[in-house]
Amino acid sequence: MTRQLIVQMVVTGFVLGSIYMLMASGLTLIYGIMHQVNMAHGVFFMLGAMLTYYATKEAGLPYFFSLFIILLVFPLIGVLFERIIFRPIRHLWLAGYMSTIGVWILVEGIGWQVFGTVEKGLQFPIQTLLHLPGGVTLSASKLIICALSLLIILGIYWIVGRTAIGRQMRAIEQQPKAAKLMGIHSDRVVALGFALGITLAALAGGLVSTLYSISPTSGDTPMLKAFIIIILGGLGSITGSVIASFILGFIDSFGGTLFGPQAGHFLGFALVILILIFKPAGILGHE
Amino acid sequence: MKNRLGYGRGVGLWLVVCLFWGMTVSGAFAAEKVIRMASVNAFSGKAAAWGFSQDRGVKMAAQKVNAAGGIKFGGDTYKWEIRSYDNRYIPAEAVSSMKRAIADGCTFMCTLGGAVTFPLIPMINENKIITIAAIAGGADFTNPKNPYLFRTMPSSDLLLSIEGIKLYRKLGIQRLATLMADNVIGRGDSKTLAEALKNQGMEKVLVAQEFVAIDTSDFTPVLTRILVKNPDLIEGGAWPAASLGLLIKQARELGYKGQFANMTGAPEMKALIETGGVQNIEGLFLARLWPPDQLPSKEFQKFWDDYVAQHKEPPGANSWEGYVAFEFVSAAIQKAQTLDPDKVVATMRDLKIPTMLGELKLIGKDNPLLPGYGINNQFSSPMPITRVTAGKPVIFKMD
Repeated sequence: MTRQLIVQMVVTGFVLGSIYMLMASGLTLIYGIMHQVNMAHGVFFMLGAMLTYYATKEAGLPYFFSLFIILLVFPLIGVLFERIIFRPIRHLWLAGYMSTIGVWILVEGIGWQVFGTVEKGLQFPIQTLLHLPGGVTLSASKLIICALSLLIILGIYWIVGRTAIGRQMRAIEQQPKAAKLMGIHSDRVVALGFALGITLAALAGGLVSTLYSISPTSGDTPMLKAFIIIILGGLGSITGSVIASFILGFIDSFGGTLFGPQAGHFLGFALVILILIFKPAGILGHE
Repeated sequence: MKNRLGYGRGVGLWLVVCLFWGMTVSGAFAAEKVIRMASVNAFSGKAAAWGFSQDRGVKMAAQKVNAAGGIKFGGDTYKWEIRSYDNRYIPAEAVSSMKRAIADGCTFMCTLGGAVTFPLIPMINENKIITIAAIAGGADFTNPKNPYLFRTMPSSDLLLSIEGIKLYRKLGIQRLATLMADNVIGRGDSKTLAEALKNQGMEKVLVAQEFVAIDTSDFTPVLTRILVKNPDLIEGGAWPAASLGLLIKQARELGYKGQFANMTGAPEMKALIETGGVQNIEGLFLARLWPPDQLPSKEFQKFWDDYVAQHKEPPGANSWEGYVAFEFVSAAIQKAQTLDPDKVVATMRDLKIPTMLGELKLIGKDNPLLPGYGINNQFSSPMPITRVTAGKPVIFKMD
């Protein structure tokens, strides 16, 4: 095995990990606050990718401005979605789970009618190849997307750890009843947390839309990966999901390169099963 | 008010009676019968562009046959009706779609994709459904055990073993890698190519044979594995446009400067350009794609213009291959003067018709280039090899 190959696998693993991290962080945030599994998370990923596609390709807006539109539109969609779909059944775990599956199927079905059936694609505005030391080549687009993913995660850490709304989110996550008694308006905080979670999913879709193809089912595979990550990292733990994202990214890269794509998938799932046998709550999850 | 309603009802009833009487007397109901063909295709998912392409081509041919008076025999006039069923390019969906089609009275079928056609074969044979199918592969599909299954596109033997090897030789390829879909077609194509290279004494040229799932979005790990072998050319086989575009883009992002071919796939250019990018797909070799400014006949130009007018996008290879194959089936029914599948099939085997692509006939039996076929169920017409230049396919001279 050459040094170049090892460095390339490390770089690919890091890039994949960054992308996975962005997909999983919103899902784990929502679970942490609401203790609900949002099966429609992939739908928001897809809608973010579609919005970016139409804003860039059809409306002719700059790509980065299209991403900015996501930041304006999806918090509103999130608040509405939480208010109409989630809040009435928030305390009924199974009903919440089923209703998000319903939303997933419904939106995907509408997506085929609205967006058409032929897959779409976007090109990143900067098409430069970077030749790194060790003979490794990396596209500027992937590097920028990695950097943006890291920035977004740092932003999430800042919101959750340093702001008043973040403290309220953590209070609701840890002790919902005590938080209410302390005067925290839990409905409002949950709605904001949910809006933040799905905006992250949409932003991930927007960013990744230049790397992969876009269709109404674009969110399905990322959602599956995100579920693996949040279970591996520990449900509700953002730090756990960041760690799990990079573990999965490196497994996909090293496994897929050294042993072939099938082995990459097998190794990923095998590791998840092993970790869950010895630590059922995941890497940083609470029992 | 009551009287006015009553008057209105009376007039309406009178009009319905007149309409029915007129149609009956004019013979519209009298002797016109329907032949139903099921279009079991992918109308969603990664192969949707292919599915629409074939479906539209077949429907345009059906419109043409119907507009020309339909098929006449035994004192009856038969008009085509094409019913579409979405298989989402999933084998299980294809099976349930075909069951629905048979229940709906479809006696002919068009379909696309070996992976989704393979599980339909028992039903095709059992129900004697004459099927025109755009499928790669070779004798695994086309053999005497499958008399009702006709391949509209050139088989993998024609595209990879003959045209492919000719192309690799012309390009002076010393190191060839294959990266194909991990399904019955990808595995079959890879095996066909490896055997053909061996037969030509070129087995050392093949430096890598890899497979990934058809729904893969990130090819980077497997491409890293392939690029270590320094291939001059990566052969994709039959990737759908969106997947092929991603594959090429991601290989370029890893610094690959070699060439690509996708000899059996004939991807739709719009989806290929959107996902791959014009710069990245430059130089890609494809088979079966006629460039719009190098069409072989005026009839083809008219077909192209009509297609663009109706669907707001250019046709793909599966459109014109489906179109001429449908004309062929219609001509065979007309000549056989029956809908009996065995008699129609027997007529098809010896038929030759002029089409917009050139002469169309069936080959396969006693053909040394098509080992194991043993039956004339492979459509044959002139076909170009193209090289993508500035986002457009341009005919590549092989001689």
